[in-house]
Formats: sequence, structure tokens, C-alpha cells
Amino acid sequence: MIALCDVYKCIGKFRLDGISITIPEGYICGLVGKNGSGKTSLINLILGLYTPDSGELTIDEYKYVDNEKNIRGNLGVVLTEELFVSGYSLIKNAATYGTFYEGFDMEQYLNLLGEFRLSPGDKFSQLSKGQKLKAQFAFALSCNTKYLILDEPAANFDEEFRRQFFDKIQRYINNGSNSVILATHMTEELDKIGDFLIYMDSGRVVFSGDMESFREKYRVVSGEKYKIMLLNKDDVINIEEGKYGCKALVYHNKGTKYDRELSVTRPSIEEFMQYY
Amino acid sequence: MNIKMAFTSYITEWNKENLKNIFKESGTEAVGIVLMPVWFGIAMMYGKSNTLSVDILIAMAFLIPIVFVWISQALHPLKKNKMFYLLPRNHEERKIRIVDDYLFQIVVHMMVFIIGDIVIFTVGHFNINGFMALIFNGFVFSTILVTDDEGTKAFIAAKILFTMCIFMSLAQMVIVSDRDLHVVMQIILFVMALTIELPLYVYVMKNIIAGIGKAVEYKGA
Repeated sequence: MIALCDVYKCIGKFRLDGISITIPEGYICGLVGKNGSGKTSLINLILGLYTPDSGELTIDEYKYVDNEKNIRGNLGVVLTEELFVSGYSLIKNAATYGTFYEGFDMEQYLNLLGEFRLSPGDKFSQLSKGQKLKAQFAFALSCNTKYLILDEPAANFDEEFRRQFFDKIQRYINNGSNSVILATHMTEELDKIGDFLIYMDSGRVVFSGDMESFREKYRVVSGEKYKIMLLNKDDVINIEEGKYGCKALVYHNKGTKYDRELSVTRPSIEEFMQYY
Repeated sequence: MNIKMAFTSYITEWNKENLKNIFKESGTEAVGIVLMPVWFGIAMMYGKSNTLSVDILIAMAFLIPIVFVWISQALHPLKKNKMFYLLPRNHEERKIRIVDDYLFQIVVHMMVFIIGDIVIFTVGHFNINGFMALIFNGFVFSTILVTDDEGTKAFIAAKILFTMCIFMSLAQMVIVSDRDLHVVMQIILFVMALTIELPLYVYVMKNIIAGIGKAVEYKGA
């Protein structure tokens, strides 16, 4: 379990503000938000690249201060940045870095490269961006770590591999104890496979919880403007006026009754991003 | 020191992409440094009617190590790539790795300078003071690194020291390539080394030691 309790971190002018979240085991956790909302900064905190200015971060009850090596040994990482040595082949990169991970399985890595149509002898620098990410993804999977932390890799994959990618991460959590944290803008896929959602805005966590709670907590209400205006103001998060009516994102409370002429739907992550 | 690891880490950075990057980042400074032996060779050949191949050999034995070490330093900053900080290692292990890499780099640089000095004194006129001075400057040049951002005091000090090292070595090389001893000139250089170069070196080294401490953690940590 990854837990952050009231974490603050200033990175230049940007600030992560009082982050308190708990990511349970066995979940695919989507980390969503607009550009500059703090997703990558939060990932850097979880990866121990940033140290919180205040607050507490624990991973399986370990803290980076005294158990850094154990924590890192359980984190498989795919970032959009190139992590491999550019002049090395894929197999040499894995041989170099794999020795640091107890669970690293070279055979599994080679099989995955084959599945992803990559050759072990290919020089990392000669691959396309998508191929580089595939290779890093294969390596992260082969490290057999408990957590897989993925910062926006899917955007660089072709349609065919994207399906394979989501299939792989679904299988990865099958044992019930592994977890995936996936920062992404591909919210449609996340709607299908995500179990847990963290939505960030301007360095703050707006929502953190399982997808069921997310779907229960919010509604998109659309209809005529005057009827939207009659909604309880405390529940309204945002209103967007269109040519023929209004749409509002609202907090939904159990038992709330809406005007019959209003259309009320559960928001997808995409809609939530749009109206928030 | 884990020599195999330090060697691998050192050699890994010598690749086409990294070389391209340092030329992109350093711009005219890189071009100037790399072309220095060429300019020098041309100047010697056309500037003096009686230039001997020995003079050119001495000049190259002096300049090529400087160019090599400059490139090597640019390729091997104290700060490592992101993967280094993501691997399962603790603070102490990372520090050892950084210090080992730094020391290994100094050993390589010193070897290159010593080979150059051996060539200089084999084909030139041996002079113990000049030899010691060149070894000292080679050591200073081998160890200094720019650890801070452009415009900071530490950055300026390191750049001045780089320039001073080249100037002091160049002066020594001119002296040792001549048959006469030039004792007064050597005393002047010695006093300059003691009063300017050495204090500057101490200041720069303090920054490098602080830089090692900073490099153990990922930037902005």
C-alpha cells in the first residue's frame, strides 16, 4: 500500500498541496489531471526522486529515509524519459540494470521483447520513441516488482500495442497484491480498466478513491439554464453554458432528486476533466 | 573501488549521442577547445620559418590531453541520469558510485596528461621544475569540474581555473621546449601557482565536494 499523508512539496513555483492519498494493493490506479496539475511531481514523490517538504510518504509501511533500497526494489518504472543507456543494445541494458532487481527474469524479458516485436540486439538509440517505451515497459514487467509506475507511456503506442499494453497491466495485477499507477490522458481506457482514480488539479488532489465511489459522487446535469440555476449552489462544481442549454458538474448526494426535465448522467473521467 | 564498474560507467558515456550533446550545449567553447591543437599546429607551421616536427609533436602532446580531458569532463558530470536514482540503491551506495566514478575519471585524465608529459620531455629538453609544474597543472585540470549553474561564483571560479591551468601549462611548455632554463620565468610561474592557482583550486575543490553531496540525490529532491 502506498500512503501519502498531508504531503507538501515546492518545486520551483509549483507546489503539491497537502496530498493525502492511500493507494491500495491489487488495483490499477489512474492518475489523471490536466497538464501541469502535478501528476509527474506526484510520481516523482512516490519514486523517491523528490523528498516531501513536510508530511509523510510510506510504501508498504517503509519510508525512503531508512528503507530506500527495499522500496526501490519493489518499483518498476516506465517514464516518458529515456532511462536506458542509448549506446547499449536492449539485452545489454537489461543485463546492466537487471542485476539491481532481485526478481529480474531475463528469459521473461526476452520473451516480452519478442512479443513486442523488438530484437534484443537492437541498439536503444536506434529505436523509435514508441519502441523505446516498449523496451522499458518489457524491462519493468520483467523486474517482477510489486508496483508498476507508468507515467504517460500509452500515448506513444500504436493502437494495436495499446490494447496489448492495457492487457498486460490487467494481467499484472491478477495476483491480487501487485498494483499499477498509471498517469494518463487516455481516460477512455481508464474508465474501462481502472479500479482506482486520483484526479489532480493545480497541485491538489480533487478526488481519490475507487471508481465506484467516483461514479457515485458526481453527476453531469444538463438542461435549461434556469433549471440548472435552481440546483443547490453548494453542490455545483462548475457550469458550462451552451447555445441550447447548460451543463453542470455537481456533487451527487444520495437521495437527491433532480427536476424531471433535466438529464442526469454519471460523468466519465473525460467529462469530469472537461467540466471540472 | 569497483574498477570494473567504474570503467564501464566511464566508457558508457563516450558515445556519439553524448558527444553531439556536449557540442550542442557548449557551442563555441567546445569548437574552440577541440580546434585548439589544429590552430596551434597551423600557427606553428606558418608562423615560424624554422618550425621542426619536434615542436609540433611537443605542442600536440600538450594540447591533445587538454582536449581529451575537457571532453571527458563534459561527458562525466557528477550528476547522473535519472535511472541511476531509480535503481534499488541506498544513499551510501550512490555516494560510493559517484565518488568511484569521479576518482576513476581523475586516474584516466592523469594517465593521459602523464603520457603527454613523457612525450614532451622525451623529445624536448628535460627540466625537473617544468616537469613538476606540468604534472601539477595536469592534476588540477584533471580534478576540476563545473558543478554549479552558469553565472554562479563557483561556475566562474571553475572557468577561471580552467583557463589559468591552460595558460600556466602553455607557459611551461614554451619554457621546456627551449634549450635555456628561463629560471626567472619559472619562479614567476611558481609564485603565480602558489598565490592564485592554489587558493582558487581549494575554493573549486570545496564546491566539487559539495557537488558530490548534491549529486547523491536527484536534482530538485
